[in-house]
Amino acid sequence: MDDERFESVWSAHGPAVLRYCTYSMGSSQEGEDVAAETFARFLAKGDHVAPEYVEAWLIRVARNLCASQHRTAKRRTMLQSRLAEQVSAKTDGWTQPDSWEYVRRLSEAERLTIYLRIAEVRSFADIARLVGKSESAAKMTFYRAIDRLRRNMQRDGVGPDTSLVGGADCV
Amino acid sequence: MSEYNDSREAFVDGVRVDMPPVAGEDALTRVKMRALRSQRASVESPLRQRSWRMAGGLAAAVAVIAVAAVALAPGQQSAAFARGKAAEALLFQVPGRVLHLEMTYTQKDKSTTGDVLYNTNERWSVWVDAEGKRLREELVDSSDGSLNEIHVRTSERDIVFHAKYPADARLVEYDATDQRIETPLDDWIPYMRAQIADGSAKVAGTKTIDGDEYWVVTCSSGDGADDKMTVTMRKSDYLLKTWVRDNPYEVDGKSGVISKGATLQVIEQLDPATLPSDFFSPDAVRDAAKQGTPVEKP
Repeated sequence: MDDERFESVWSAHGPAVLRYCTYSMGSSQEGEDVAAETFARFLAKGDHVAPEYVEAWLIRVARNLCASQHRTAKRRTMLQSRLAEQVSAKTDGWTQPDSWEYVRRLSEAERLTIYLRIAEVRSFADIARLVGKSESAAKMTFYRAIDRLRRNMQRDGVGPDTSLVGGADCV
Repeated sequence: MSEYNDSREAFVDGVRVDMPPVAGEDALTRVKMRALRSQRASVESPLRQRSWRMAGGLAAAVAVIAVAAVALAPGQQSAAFARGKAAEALLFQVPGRVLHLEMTYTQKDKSTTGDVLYNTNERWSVWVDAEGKRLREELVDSSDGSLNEIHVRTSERDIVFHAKYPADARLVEYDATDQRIETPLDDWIPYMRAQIADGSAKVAGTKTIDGDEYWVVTCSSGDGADDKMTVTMRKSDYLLKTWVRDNPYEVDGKSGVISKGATLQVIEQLDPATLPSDFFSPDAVRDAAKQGTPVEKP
């Protein structure tokens, strides 16, 4: 891949991919791990990806890598071991809030949808394009995830005890 | 979550506050340099290497090599496989055909004490014509086939029945003349098409379905441990029978949660004559609303 293309893609999507990975993994360190892996794969395979699909491709790869890291503690341990040998990453960055434990229990698709909607302020049509779902399915995923977060936090006494109301037009 | 009241909007505001900030220059530079360093070293992805080690082992690797050798032996099926025709078929612009895309998502989380924490079974289906127009969508509970939502779109109207979400089932019609309908094709499909065109996709064998001979073609998905996509294409005209990508997973419970799930994506090209006569008619939605029962799949 030529440098110009990589620089262009990095500038356009690097910050968002890193931020999503940080949110999904719950730490700056692990977010950097997955984001670096995502762009390493783009460097290796991105020549096949048409420009109009680059963003969705990166999002999909990052999502799947995040999901893989969540799936087995073994993988995460191995990744950290490798990084300990190769990278002198700093420990600055985002401090995981208490609520992240509830975020961790969501599916990766739900984390991604929440991230795109709330952090990136994407439209549901845009989210649908990026995650390969219908707009209504993306909307449903988002509100289902938000309601699960609320419900779980309230169940644990973290939030107020209120009844939840369905609907999909308030954000 | 620092503080929020009981409204969903306020809750969303709280989630917004808890998002990580946009990374600073130092972090961005670290990530970029690591990606570039990995590429310069020209090594296979460390995550990928580990996946192979974990998933395969020597015996599996030998099996894979043996299968590939048979599949690609000179003079066998790959010699007759026309890459250009196959790549063209994956454009999904076959006049008179309807593209059917289906994604089934399941996840069940249990605590190590046995409590079910989360259980979802969803299937989203969409039917698209050769011009990319989305004709019909369904969202169903894949465990029992019950309908969550159904859309049918004509050139002027978008008629929707929300059976389970939101909480109140309702039938809604929209003026669809000014709506832009995107074709919801997965971005992996163009990725596979490129691999077929440049020869990196492999003919893994053939199979017979309903009396017709099909190619079985595999390629990389480049996205994780499974790392493989498969399509079956009819030998006579390269009609796509299925495109399948399956991602099963299981979490071991060390975190207190045992989670099992899978996402199965399937694509096929259909002859609309094989579908019910009112399948793309608003009447199908109205009937579903009247009955309040699942819409039978063809």
